[in-house]
Amino acid sequence: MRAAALIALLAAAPALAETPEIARQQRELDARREVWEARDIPGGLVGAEAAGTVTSRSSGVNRVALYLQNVNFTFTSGIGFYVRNLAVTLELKTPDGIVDFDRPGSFAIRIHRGEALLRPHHLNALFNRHVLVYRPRALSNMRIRTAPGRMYAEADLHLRGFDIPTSLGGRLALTRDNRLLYQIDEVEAFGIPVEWLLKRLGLGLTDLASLERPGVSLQSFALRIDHRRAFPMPELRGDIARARLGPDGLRLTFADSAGVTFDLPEGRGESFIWAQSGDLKFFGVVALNARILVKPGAPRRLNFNLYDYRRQLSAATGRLDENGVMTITTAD
Amino acid sequence: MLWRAALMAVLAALAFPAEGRDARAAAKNRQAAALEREAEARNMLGAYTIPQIRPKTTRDSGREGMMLFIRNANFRFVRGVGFFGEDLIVAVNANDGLSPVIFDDPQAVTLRVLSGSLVVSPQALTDLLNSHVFNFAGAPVRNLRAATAVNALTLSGEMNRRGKWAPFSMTGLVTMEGGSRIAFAPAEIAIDGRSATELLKAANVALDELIRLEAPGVKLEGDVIRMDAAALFPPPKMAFDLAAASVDARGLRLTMTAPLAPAWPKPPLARDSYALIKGGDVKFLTVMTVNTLMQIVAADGGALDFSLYDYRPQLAAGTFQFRMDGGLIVSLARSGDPEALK
Repeated sequence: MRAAALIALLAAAPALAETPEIARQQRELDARREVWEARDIPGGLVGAEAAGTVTSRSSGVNRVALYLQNVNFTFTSGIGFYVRNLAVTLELKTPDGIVDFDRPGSFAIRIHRGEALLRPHHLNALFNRHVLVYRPRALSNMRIRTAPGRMYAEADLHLRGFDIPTSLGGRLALTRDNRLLYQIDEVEAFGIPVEWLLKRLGLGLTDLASLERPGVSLQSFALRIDHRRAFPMPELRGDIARARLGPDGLRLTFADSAGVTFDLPEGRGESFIWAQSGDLKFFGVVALNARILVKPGAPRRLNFNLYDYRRQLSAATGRLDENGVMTITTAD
Repeated sequence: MLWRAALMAVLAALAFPAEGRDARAAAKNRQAAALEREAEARNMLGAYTIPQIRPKTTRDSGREGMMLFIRNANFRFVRGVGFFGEDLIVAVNANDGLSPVIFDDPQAVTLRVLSGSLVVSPQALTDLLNSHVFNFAGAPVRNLRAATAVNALTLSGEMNRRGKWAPFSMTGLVTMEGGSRIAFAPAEIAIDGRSATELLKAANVALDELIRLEAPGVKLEGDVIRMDAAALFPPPKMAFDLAAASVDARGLRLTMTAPLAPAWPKPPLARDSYALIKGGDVKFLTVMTVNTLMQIVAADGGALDFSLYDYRPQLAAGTFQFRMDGGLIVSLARSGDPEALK
């Protein structure tokens, strides 16, 4: 009797349904995904949005936009430049690739606007550790100094086993095809002016030394430099609008796309790199629809070394906020 | 002009060729290839290799999933629902066979526990039953409470009786059945504070004649409550084969087995409590790791307490560090959830 009553009283059928907790979790995820996947391509960058669709492995945007401010940027071995400010995009070399910091050949750096300064030590590193690194070489041990409107270079000219201390002086100009032309009007050997003699003999510097390297070639009395190819990979893209020599070095101004504007994050400080949009691979990690701020840990200038970024960033501290914005604070 | 021609010839002979290799670029590419090989080796775990099921790309390891190693850490699905993992090895795969394992979407992945033990504390079992298993309209029981002792699980709560709720209590053994199934056979039953054990026995009434107790992963059959332990938990979907099931003062202990389990890898950081992910592709928020090496630890150096549904605030309040080899150390802030597993 009591048992029978219990049977009737206690019978109940379950209703299988999604629990409130997972429903809540999924609602929150949907809201977050709208933020994570929202394309935030910098203003003025036309074309990037004509990319693929969003998947779990791709933002669908095929280039990474970067803004650098007050940064010592180095490719490798001291070769680089000081960036006062640059708006750039990292562009894929192959359509199905990815911008991978471990493979600088996987992308090109297109400079849209801004200013970079090659200090004398940058120029020395460029020539001594990159341009003139081949054997046998005609020139070595370049020591460059700059002055308003002038650039001077001391180097060892190698002629059949002899090192001839040579000094060059000249001005810089931009050619019509947007190459830098170092127009040499002073040549000294052993401290003796010889430029007049060479010209009197109808000879040029190329009769003494042949220099034909990617992005750099010696002409009669001029050194022609293509900034797109002169540096270690990745190649640079974009025209120089103005080149000026001053006591602090060679200042290059770019203005191909003056209207490129970024949504710079709060707390960026005075010296930083900001990645906005596109997919960036580093450390084997892919930041999708990247929003990454790299800044120094103390109020000083950020140094960024592309070829050695792992060493530098492995000493950094990262944070990832719920909107997917990554902040990397460097230690050195 | 003979002298000029002679001088030109001499100078031409002295001029050096300007060809050279970009050794630095080649070295950089070799370094990248070596790093990629090292990363790919993370899929090899002793005798176990995470299968490659898709072509590799720059964004895809091609691997079936990732391997999760949980040592002495609280793994919560949500709030207090979860378990304490003791040397658990879990294969985690994306359900669609294409995506990375997405941390943020528990419904998109499957966990297959290969070895190790998990302990569901009495409080966690209580939370599991109330907030998940019997959290549906028309549930026949409520306000459940689990208590454990050596070889004894006590389940108490209220049963619905024509709109009124009657207190009940059941105590018995938990035993292992095949696969991921366990059985709870109450030997003592009390209703309204009075023992009903003898009455039911005398009336030859089985428990399932008293109450239709059915929920995802739970079904009362005769006098035995049969549970699929893998189906009890909230998403993600779980699967495992039990080697042992027992109850003691710490709670319900389940030990898993599989024909082949990976070797336990050495973690980057020497900690007593951590979760380590090796191999495959993992995505959290907007970040995807390919051929993953990630160690998750507590930022305060204590025991790791990971809450799957609510890990983002833990992550945002914590920090991460890259290692030279591409490994990632993630330090999670302690959850602000007061219902953390005891």
